[in-house]
Amino acid sequence: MEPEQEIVLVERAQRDPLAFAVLYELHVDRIYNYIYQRTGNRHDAEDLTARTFVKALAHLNDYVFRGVPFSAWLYRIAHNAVANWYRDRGRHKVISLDALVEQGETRRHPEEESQVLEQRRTLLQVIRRLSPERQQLLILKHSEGLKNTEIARIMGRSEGAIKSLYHRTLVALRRELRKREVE
Amino acid sequence: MRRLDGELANPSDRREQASVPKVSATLGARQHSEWRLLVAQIRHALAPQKPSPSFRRQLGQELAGIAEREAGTEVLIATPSTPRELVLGAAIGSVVALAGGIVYLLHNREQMRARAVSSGHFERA
Repeated sequence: MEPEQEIVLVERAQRDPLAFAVLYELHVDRIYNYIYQRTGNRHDAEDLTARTFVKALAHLNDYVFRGVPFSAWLYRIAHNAVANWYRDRGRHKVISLDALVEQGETRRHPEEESQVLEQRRTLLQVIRRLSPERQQLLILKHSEGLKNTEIARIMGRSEGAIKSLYHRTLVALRRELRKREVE
Repeated sequence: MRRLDGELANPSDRREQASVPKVSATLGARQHSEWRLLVAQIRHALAPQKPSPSFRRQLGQELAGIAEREAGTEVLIATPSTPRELVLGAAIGSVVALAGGIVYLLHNREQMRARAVSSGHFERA
């Protein structure tokens, strides 16, 4: 959706809270996915998604368009909700089995399937050890499929900075994965 | 930390941009394929997940309930009972009471005058 179209919807919802439903339908999938990728399990993803939208509705009149899309504002609320979740639970390095079970493919040979699952588990562990910012970048880029220009708007950075951050993130990932292979 | 009002321009972004290495120009084909494999693995590991339809629907209803309560509160605030109506009502009531009192007095005087006439006495109005 173009920012201009989105502004109309936001302003309508600011006048009439019942119109927030349209914004909810437009953004719930991507916000849920972002939170799910950060937390790794459905239960917490649902809880934090609900908190994100309740908070967004409560503070809708605080949003003012200054070149930053409404989705960026929502992502920021979701990002903070996840940060608080990590702080409250102290869970930085735990991988939920949800991600592995739901993504597992059943057509492979059991041994091969086990190996694939283990590789995926390792990769997810390494990804979730990255800084929240780097995780956000990977999720927006590879899970949401956003372009660098859109990611830059959401993360409040220049496009060049996003490209640089992405490159450094891949280098860090590769280094960590190789270290684990050696171990 | 980014502000919610969307302020951009992190000063460190310019330094980061200047330090971006020209990786693609120097990577061999083998290294390039390693990067592509890593990216493919990341995409697979982060495959998008959708909320369940029941959760989606339930949260939507919850938000609609909150929005209705907010909208209802705004309507109540917008149409308060004004003192003007009360004053008007009191004024009308007073006029009616006064009129009734005057009618009663006049009626009583007429009756007293009628009795006085019948008994032969005049009374001042």
